[in-house]
Amino acid sequence: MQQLGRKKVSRLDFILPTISLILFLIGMLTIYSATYNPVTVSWLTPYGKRQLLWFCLGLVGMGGSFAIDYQFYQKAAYLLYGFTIILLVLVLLVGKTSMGATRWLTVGGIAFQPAELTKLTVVLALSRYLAERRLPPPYNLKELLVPFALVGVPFLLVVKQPDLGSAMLIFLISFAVIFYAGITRKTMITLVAAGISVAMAGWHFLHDYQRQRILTFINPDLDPQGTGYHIAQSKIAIGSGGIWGKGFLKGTQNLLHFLPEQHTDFIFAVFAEQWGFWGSLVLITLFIIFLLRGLAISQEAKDAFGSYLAVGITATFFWQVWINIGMVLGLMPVVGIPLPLISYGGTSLLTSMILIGILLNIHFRKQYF
Amino acid sequence: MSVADQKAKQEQGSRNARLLFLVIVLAGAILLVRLWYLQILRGEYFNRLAKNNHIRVRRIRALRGVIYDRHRKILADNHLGFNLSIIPENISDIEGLARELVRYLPDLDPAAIVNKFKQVPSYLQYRPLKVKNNLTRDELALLEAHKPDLPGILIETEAVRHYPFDLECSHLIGYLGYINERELQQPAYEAYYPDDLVGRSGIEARFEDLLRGTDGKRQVEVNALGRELHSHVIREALPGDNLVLTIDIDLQSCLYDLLKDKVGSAVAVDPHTGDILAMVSTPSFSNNMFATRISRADWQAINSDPLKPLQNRAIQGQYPPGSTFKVIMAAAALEDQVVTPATRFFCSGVYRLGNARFRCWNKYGHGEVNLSRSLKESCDVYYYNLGSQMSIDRIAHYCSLFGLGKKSGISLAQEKPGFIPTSSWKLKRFHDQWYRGETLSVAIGQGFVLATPLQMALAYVPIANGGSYFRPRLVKYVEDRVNRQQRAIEPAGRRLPIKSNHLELIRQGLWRVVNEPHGTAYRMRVTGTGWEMAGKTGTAQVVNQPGPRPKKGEEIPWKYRDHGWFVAFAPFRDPKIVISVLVEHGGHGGSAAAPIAREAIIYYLQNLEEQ
Repeated sequence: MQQLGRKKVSRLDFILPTISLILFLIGMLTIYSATYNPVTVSWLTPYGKRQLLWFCLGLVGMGGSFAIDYQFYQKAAYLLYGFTIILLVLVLLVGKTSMGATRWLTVGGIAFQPAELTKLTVVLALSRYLAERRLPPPYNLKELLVPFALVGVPFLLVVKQPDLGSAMLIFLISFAVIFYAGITRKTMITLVAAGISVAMAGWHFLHDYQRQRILTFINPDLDPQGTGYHIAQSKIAIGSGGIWGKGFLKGTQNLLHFLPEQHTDFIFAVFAEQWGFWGSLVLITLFIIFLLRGLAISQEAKDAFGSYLAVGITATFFWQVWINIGMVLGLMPVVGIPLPLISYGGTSLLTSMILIGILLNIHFRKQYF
Repeated sequence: MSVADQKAKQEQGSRNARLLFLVIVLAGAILLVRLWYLQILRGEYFNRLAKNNHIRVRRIRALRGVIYDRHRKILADNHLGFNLSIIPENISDIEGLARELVRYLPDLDPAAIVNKFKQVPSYLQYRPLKVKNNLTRDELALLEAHKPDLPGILIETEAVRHYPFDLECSHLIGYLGYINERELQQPAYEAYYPDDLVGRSGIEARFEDLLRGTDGKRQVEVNALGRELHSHVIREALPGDNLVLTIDIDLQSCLYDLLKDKVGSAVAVDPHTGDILAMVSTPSFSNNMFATRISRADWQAINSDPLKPLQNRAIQGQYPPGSTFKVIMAAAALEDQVVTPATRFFCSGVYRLGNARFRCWNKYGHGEVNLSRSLKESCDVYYYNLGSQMSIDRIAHYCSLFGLGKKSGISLAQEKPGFIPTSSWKLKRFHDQWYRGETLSVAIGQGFVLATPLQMALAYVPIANGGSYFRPRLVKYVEDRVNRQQRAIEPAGRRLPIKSNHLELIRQGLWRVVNEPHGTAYRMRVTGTGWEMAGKTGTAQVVNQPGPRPKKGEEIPWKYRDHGWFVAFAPFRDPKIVISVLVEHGGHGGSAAAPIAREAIIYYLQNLEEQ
């Protein structure tokens, strides 16, 4: 009995939680420096306090998503998927509109964005479908019709809101899972070609502010006071950090409030200004280890569903990290995607921790010989 | 599904996983290359840009919403004020400047200025530092004339809250105060800055979130000396909402003038809507003193005044209602069928319960008294009889219907609930049962009973209008200052479960108080106006003063004198105003409070006719 207990403990993954905790602590430190007020100094800013509260809630969510055997998720996958579709339809019918977009549902006074949930449930449904399929991979276009439909319906519903950032993430994450499951080379080429032509056709359907963002991304000097101003200031912040950074709480761009959304979407700029190239190197390396660990878990999973799910979750983190930092570095257009575990924001932190819980779950229940 | 199937899928996956591994590492490498380009290759360039960043983001303060009375006369708005600031980075000799400034503004403390200056961190040197608020015209002229001798000073303009009717409405409108450090830490004050003012009492506090508005942002380009070159609005400031109150400022001023030399309170209500027409509390203070930093001496004078001018007696003063309470007793007794309109009790001037003697205010007695006459002549013995036959909990039930013993829910902070005793309260508080003798005190509005002037006015509303109690309404509508949209706040009334013939009987009794000889307020009758007034006097004992009671009111020391009450409504046939007046230590209600109510009613109804 005792031996079994020890065995169970040894089956727990320690790398992933440790890295996650370090990333969260870096996030807390950076949120502190981004929101700290030199006039009224205290060891925790109101933002820091709330982030810490969400972290506690996240621990509960993580424990929950870890404790339930992930094969239960497989059974519930389609049900959760259907539920999400209903929520997305509800958003379009009765959702709360703010700044021209309808993204929020309010239940009992608490507002949330179903698009956030959609990322996970699409991965679940997709993983179950691909895992239970009798046909062996690789698949061609015709054989992928059902997965396309599974992704396409929620994708279009989210585009309609419009929440282009989330829609893009759903598409990219799903693509990663389908690619991992295996597709023929011909399909791959067709898909990429189709993606590019859809993007070009989609330009006509974009809202003005969305076009503006892309245009100023291509040429930031076009509109130095508006959207481009954010990218320009963010580049100044990061660049002026140099090799060694300006030091903790000494980022002038941050203190003078040049940075937009400095505690949420642009938090990486605050970090890079203070800690310079070496700090950024450490942070990005931590993220790479985190992602590779997620990929490794997918390889150790005892069944196909577990491995698809792990890939989907890893892809969720990958795209968010890459798009967020790419945006702050001026490599990508400005889209509102937070940096997982670092940015201030309860929903993002809670979701990230639940996803980490599922990864640990898959690792814990892998095949042991 | 077969195990072989699983195997095939996982093998296919692990082939692709190698590709994904590469993608992750490659993507990380792209980010690092970009970082290397920005931070190392071009680090110097960006560092120079950061140092010379001439763009500053400054705040545009939102204008606070205007407060109007019901006829859109201004009760609170914003005036232009001038502040003296210094720009730290432009000053080489702060001690010298401070000495120089004191020559023109003698009330400044040079040490404090130097101290403040030294605390400014290096990266905030460009930001103006406030030295003195609200300069007078003379100070302004003096400083402008000597500006060349005072390098580094800056005269800034700022909106200053102004109250045209400060003494008349200071309790109602309230005042502003500077936000403190503890509040700044709270998420609720996220949008506030250290120098901001927030509503501290009255309407200003209760509607802070509506009145405040949303600050804007302005981007300014500055030169190396911190002087603004170009300015460009990023986000317009959104001014706060305007509030249109139910108050009639003419009536409010009239009541204030009548009460200003006394200590007391008056509340006037529209009996058809529950609108608060006036709410006065004296002694008063000027809320304009708080609009800029209040001086220490002023604050101490207000705070240490034994008469507590900051207290809003209309909602915070809790007094025994005395005989004005008899109206509720009468309604309760009729409704519970303890008496009929014809029931008579004999008043000999004293009522005996066991060994105790309860006196009527008229020691010679009233003789045979029915309900109507008991109100008219305010016979105490009649109500002792009711009290001896009713339970305290039934009385409390009727009090609750009339809004006594609980907060009215008026839109003002710190309202007091008054008090109505019950038997269970007595048991809990004193571990003792309720005695019948105590009910007798309650029956004439003494004992434990406490009510605010607002509550007494509201309790008389159902009697005036024939049976509907209203939740008091103070804000008629909220007006969005940007798009001029108005959000009305509807009156909230409910019918009381009391028969209308019972209320009518009480109404008649209150008519007789004023309009029949021997009524306790007969001297207050209004003639020659085409309408009549009805009302009830009340005299509330303060304490059992030591020693034998002197005969004449004037011989009693002020602080032992009784509180005088008068609650009235008019015109009798179709009431348009209910008013309650309380004068602390005013003596008998008929002589202290009634003349004030009478004059205010005449003023209000005449004004109404002219319109």
